[in-house]
Order: sequence, then C-alpha cells, then structure tokens
Amino acid sequence: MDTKNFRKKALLQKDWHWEIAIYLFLGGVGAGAYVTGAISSFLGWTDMARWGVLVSFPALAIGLLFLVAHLGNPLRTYLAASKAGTSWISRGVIFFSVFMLVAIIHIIGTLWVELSGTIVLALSVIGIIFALGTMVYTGALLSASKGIPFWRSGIMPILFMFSALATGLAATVVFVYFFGSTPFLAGIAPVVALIAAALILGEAVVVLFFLHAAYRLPESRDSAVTATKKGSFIVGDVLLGLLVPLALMLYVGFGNAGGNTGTLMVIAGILVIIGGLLLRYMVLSVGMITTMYASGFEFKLQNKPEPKSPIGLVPPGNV
Amino acid sequence: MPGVGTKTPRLGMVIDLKRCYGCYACVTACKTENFTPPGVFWARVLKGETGEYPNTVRQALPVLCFQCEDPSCMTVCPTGATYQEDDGVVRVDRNKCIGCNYCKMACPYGARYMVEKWESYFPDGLPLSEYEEYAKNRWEEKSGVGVSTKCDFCFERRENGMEPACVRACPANARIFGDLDDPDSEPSILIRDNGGYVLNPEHGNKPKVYYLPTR
Repeated sequence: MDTKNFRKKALLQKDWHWEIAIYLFLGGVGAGAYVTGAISSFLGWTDMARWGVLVSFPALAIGLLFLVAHLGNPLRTYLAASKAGTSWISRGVIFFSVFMLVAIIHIIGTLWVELSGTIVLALSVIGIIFALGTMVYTGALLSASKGIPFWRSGIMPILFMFSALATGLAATVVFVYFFGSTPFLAGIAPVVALIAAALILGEAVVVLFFLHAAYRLPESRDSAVTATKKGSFIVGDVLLGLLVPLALMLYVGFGNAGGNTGTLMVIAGILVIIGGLLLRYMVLSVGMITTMYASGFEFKLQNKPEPKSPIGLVPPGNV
Repeated sequence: MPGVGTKTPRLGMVIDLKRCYGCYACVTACKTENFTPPGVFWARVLKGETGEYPNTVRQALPVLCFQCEDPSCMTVCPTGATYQEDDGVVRVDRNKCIGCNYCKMACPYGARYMVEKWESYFPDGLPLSEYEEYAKNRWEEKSGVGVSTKCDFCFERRENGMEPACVRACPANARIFGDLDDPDSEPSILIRDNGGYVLNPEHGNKPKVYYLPTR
C-alpha cells in the first residue's frame, strides 16, 4: 500500500499574507528604482535618473503603510528599531528609515532646491548603499525565520535583490515612458533593455536555484511542490513576469523593434512589476511551519479543523 | 517545589511518551487555567503515525513552549518584548510587543499565538456568559489582544508555589516539572537514566522540555 498518499501536509503559515507581500514588493521597487536613478545619473541618462529617484520614496512610503497596517499594535511601531543586534526587523527599520530620508532629500533636490553636485553624489552613494541594504533585508527577514523551512534559505536575499533591481528598473522605464520627455529613452533604449534582460535572466536563474534547493530539502519540499502547482506563480510570475519580458527586452535590445520600442518596453516593464509582486506573494503563501520529529514519528501542526458540532465548538488538539 | 530556593533554578519539563496516551487533559487544563480563546493552544497534543499497513503505530506528542535556552523568538523580536526570566522561562512583555508576528515565524516548534480580536467559543450574537465575560477580561488584562502570547509554564501558579496546570492535570503522570540544574531533581534523573532528548535539536534552540522515548 502506498503510504505516501496519507502523508499530511504541514500547516501553511497564515499570518504574513498579502500586506507583507506588498510591503516587501514595494520596498524592493523603491530600492531598485533608486539604484536605477542614481546609476543613471552617473551615466548622464537624465530622464531615467529623474524618474528613478522620484519613484523611490512614494513606493517605500506606501509599502510602509501596508506594513504598519498589518501590525497588531501599530502605535508602538517606534519601538521596532530597539534590537538591531539580533533582529532583522530592527535592522530593516534602520535601513528603511535612512534610505527613505536620503530618497526624500534627493527628491527635494531634484524638484525644488538646487543641490550642488558633490551633495548629490554623496546622497547617491549613501542612498545606493542603504537601498542595497533594504533589498537584502527584505530577503534576510524571511531567511532568519526558523519556523518556516522554505524561507530559511541563503538564496532568499539574493532572489529578492535581483527581483528588486528588475522591478525597480521596470518601474523607472514605465514612468519615463508615460511622464518623461519625448523621445522615449533617445538612443539608450537598447542598452536599458539589455540591462533589464540581464536582471530578468538573473532573477529567473535565482528563482530556479531557489526552488530546486527547497525541493532538495525534505523539510521544505512540500512548499516547493505547492509553489510549482500555483497558477499565479507559474503563469503570472515565471511565464508572464520573467520569460515574456525577457524575450521582449532581448528583442528590443538587439535593435529589431523600430517604432514599437517604447510600447514593448512598457509592456515588459509592467509584466516584470506584476511578476515581482506575485513572486513575493508566492514565497509568503507557501511557507509551511516546521515538522517535529520524536522517536521516529513525524508530527505536523495541522490546519484548524472545521467545527463539527452545531454550536461551533472546535475539538481540541491537532490544531 | 522548584522556584523556591536560594539558587535560581533552571526550569524544565520531562514528557514521558511511554506514559502519554493522548487524552488532551493538558490541553483543557491549560485552557481552563489561562483562558485562551479559540484557536490558541499554549499546550497542544499532536498525533503522529509510523509504519506500513498493517503494522502501524500511532503516538501522541504533547507540546508546549519549550522555553529554549537560545530562543529564536527572542533573537528576532525587534522590540525586546520577548525576554528570558532568571529561571530561563521565556515571557512576553505585552506593553512592548508591536504584534509583528516575527516570533511566530521564528519559532520552529509553533508555540506562538496572536489573537487579533477576542472571540467567543460560541456563535456570534449570543450574549457572553458570566464565565466568558471573566475569561475575556482575564485574557485582555494578562495576555492581551494584538500582541504575541505564549506558554510561560503557568507563571502565576508557580508564583503561588504550584506546578504548571498541564503537569498537575496529567492523569498518567507523563509530565514531570522541575529544576534541570539540580542533578538530583526528578527530571534530571529521568533525562539521565532514560535517554531524554529534545525535539529537532538541529534548530540549535536548546529546548528545556525533554522527551523520554516511546519504548
């Protein structure tokens, strides 16, 4: 008799859901857009530089609202930086706050006040460092969670960093297309498309490595299998969020797009952004709580059983 | 009674799996003592199976917070709300907790619970009974809503010189509570003589709840 069919699945975590996914995603977009903007300004790509920086702060601020909204005690958020020595949330609060401060100063400098070149350069360098810190933090936050084996992967920060850079660049391209000066990315479109393609390809490879590594570990195998069966992940993220934009960006990058360059890049950009959000959502939603072992038995925390009695009493145990 | 001595004890528990027959007395005792709302199980009994048909065995595993020596919930807590008492019991300062649930994600033994809104065991619309009213008030003043909660080895009972409720309630005497630092205490002897072990030592949390093998 095949006993494997009777294997119970571990309990899916239900506490960090879409609010946290949006927060991790927007934190990544903000950080990625800032890095895009700062590097573009070094390269003299004025439109990209302007919109990358302008996108960063609003993305971070909206993300932060989602995070605070999910807390049980939002009024005590100010306490969250107290344990930077051990807690990734505290470290994240510090990265995030410094980064938001730099981003808002940079935006003020872009829009209203003329800042000297040295100050902008200093801001950009500090901003890039803290933006990278923010990207790594969004991954390290999850990989420090001992209770969820699927997240406990050293690849997680790298995965989120690639996704942050790709979605940040994509967001910048989309904003430049709609609000930037015409002509769209005059002369640099193929280069930008190739950079985007490289980031998307990198992200795709890291996603593959991440899922493979998770599959190889017995404790996170169920999560990895569940992830590959999720339509929103396979169709939304892998196919539409990675492979299609990769093809589009390569097509533009090698100079075959002609008059359609802008349209194709924006479509690819929007797909990358949606894919980034679905990736965060997938990672959170398939996280399963660890299995315990005692004397050769396997014990899993189970989902709360449906109430059986008419008055709604929940039977104890196996919860 | 442990906890009443000159030297601070290192409180721990031994659960004898040979004796446990999975009656859930510990679960109900914990609920009666701590007034935990629906879905919150500071003490819990898991059931596991092993073997191939027809030679299968079923085993109960009572679990609670293991009061780890290196608790990962305390490591990840961003505010310092999770702290360790001198006797090694891990507790939550409800006035510092922001309710981020990171401790829940970090606990490899699933011992953390957060209640977003206090709920009755009975369907919506029914008035609360006197006992429920009391339970609600007790929960809100002691543990709270919107903050992380966990087993603290029945802190109030220990203050009054009593054992934790689950230990007291166990009809099979499967739970033995005491000072792990004292080599002559009952748990220390049992762990030493009967091959006591902790669950999933690979997490490195050093739990202080030990199990004795099933057979």
